[in-house]
Amino acid sequence: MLELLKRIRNTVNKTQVFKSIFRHGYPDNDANRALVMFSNVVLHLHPVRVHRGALKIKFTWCLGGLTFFFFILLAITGVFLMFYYVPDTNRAYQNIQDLGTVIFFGDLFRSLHRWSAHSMVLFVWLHMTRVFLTGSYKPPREFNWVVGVILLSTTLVLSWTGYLLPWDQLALWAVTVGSKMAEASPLIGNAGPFGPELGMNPTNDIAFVLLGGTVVGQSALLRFYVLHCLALPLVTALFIAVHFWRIRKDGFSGPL
Amino acid sequence: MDALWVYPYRLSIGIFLVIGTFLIMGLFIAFAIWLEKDFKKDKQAK
Amino acid sequence: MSDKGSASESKAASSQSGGFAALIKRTAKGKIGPEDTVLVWPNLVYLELISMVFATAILLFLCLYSPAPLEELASADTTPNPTKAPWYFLGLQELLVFFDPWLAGVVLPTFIIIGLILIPYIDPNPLGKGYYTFSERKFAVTGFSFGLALWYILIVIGVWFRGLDWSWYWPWDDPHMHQPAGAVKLVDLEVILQSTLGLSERPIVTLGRYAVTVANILTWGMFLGYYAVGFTIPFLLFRKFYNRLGFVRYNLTMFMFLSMMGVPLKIFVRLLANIKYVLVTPWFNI
Repeated sequence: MLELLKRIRNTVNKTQVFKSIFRHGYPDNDANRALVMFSNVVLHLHPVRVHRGALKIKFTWCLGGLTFFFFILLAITGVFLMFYYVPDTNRAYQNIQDLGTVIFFGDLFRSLHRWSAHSMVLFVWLHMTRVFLTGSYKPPREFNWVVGVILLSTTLVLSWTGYLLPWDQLALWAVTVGSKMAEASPLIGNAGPFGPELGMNPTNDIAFVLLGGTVVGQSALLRFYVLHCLALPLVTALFIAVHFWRIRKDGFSGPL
Repeated sequence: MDALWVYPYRLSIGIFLVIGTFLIMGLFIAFAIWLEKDFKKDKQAK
Repeated sequence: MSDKGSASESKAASSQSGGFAALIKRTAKGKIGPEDTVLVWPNLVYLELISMVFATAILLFLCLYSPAPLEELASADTTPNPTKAPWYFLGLQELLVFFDPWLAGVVLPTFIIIGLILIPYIDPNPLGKGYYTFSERKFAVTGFSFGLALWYILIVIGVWFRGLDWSWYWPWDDPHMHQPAGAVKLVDLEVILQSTLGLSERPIVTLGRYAVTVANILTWGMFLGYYAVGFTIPFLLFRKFYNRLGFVRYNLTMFMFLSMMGVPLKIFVRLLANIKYVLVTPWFNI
């Protein structure tokens, strides 16, 4: 059986199609193992060789990598959910109900999306804690820590904007709590310190910008939908790219 | 000073807050100390 | 097949290099030979694959165990009691009990983000780069852990100890019964100063809407004094600490540190001394 598989593999590896895609044979010798890192766009995030210390699970706890994995998982499940969702206050709630009753695997994908989101938030925090405890933010990696903090913020905002989309009581009121805080922003909120003095009122302050109105309604749902499904994922992906790029440029910190 | 003892209920919340904070803080520090030792042991073992 | 190759390769590498101690020394000197590194394929790639499969399995289990909830249709007419933000924001929501929204919801989170961004720039300690250590950076680790702990305990309180009307519920309290309304009367610090010291309520100066009384100036003094004393004491007693940081880093560090410590301080002042605001102005209260 194994022999047969090996024969099949050897034949497949020699076909023109396989060569056109992968450029080299299966990475079972050192040359191909190096080549695979150069020729594969995903694997190319890695160096060819890595310090032995970087493989220690007790050092990294796989936290950063898993955070990225949750992001990928969120993108995949999110696309699936978008097929069945219309950001309309009259339809959104029904759409989500349908996911649980009518659509095959709808509930599973929604649950997976939710649990990945919770996990991503938690793992960003844990990853930050790990990076702090190993001092991996110290020169020359200061800027990558900053990028990490930006990613922490976008992760939180992403999660929060997603909270509104089911349009149930939980969603509406959790976001109402948040928009009340925005109204209380100093200088730019109508209920914040020096806000009224600067001419802020409920129809021109930061909460109005966020919600597209004075209450959490249709415009708020649309704004949160666009932010959640398009704007913020793009921003996050961009900073993730910078984050990974800097790890490659600055090198892995320890232990090394 | 009276306020402190008139409201034991609020005091208990305050105590809970202090103990909780220091417990979690201790957890992180213990984690750092454990791994510091663990990696040192790793050094000697090899 | 490939796994076997890698296992023997990394084994060979570790026996060649003389183990971790030697490895750390060489790394510190910047002399990393090819024997200290291993190929990413298969060593790291497989590790990543395994951890991803593992994570997926756990997520799927969680999905079956607790599927995503869906409550009643959103309605502006009925306010749920209590209204809770998502768990990762409950720390901030809990702060709303003790601070006004502009502080709890906007300024303090901004400080947290700025403080986090500043960390690599205000920590001049060259030790502890790339390895776990507590002994070589006690202040940094303790300070950071304290901040994290504060964040997490507030979340724990928000998730498990707050119920109807955002009242405090111990695990043994009935979550369906309203807690008796607190008999506690919260007073502003300046009112306490006024009555205990017998100060006049007449303002000394009136700046627009702001009627400045003697007690009010005293509270300003206490508020700014907290920072002033906090900035001065380490400067006087731990001059080495100051010298290592330099003027700018020292001030940034101390401002962030004192602001962080100010949060639990205000919580206690409010919780135990029943003081509502330590500082009152027409525009903002702290």
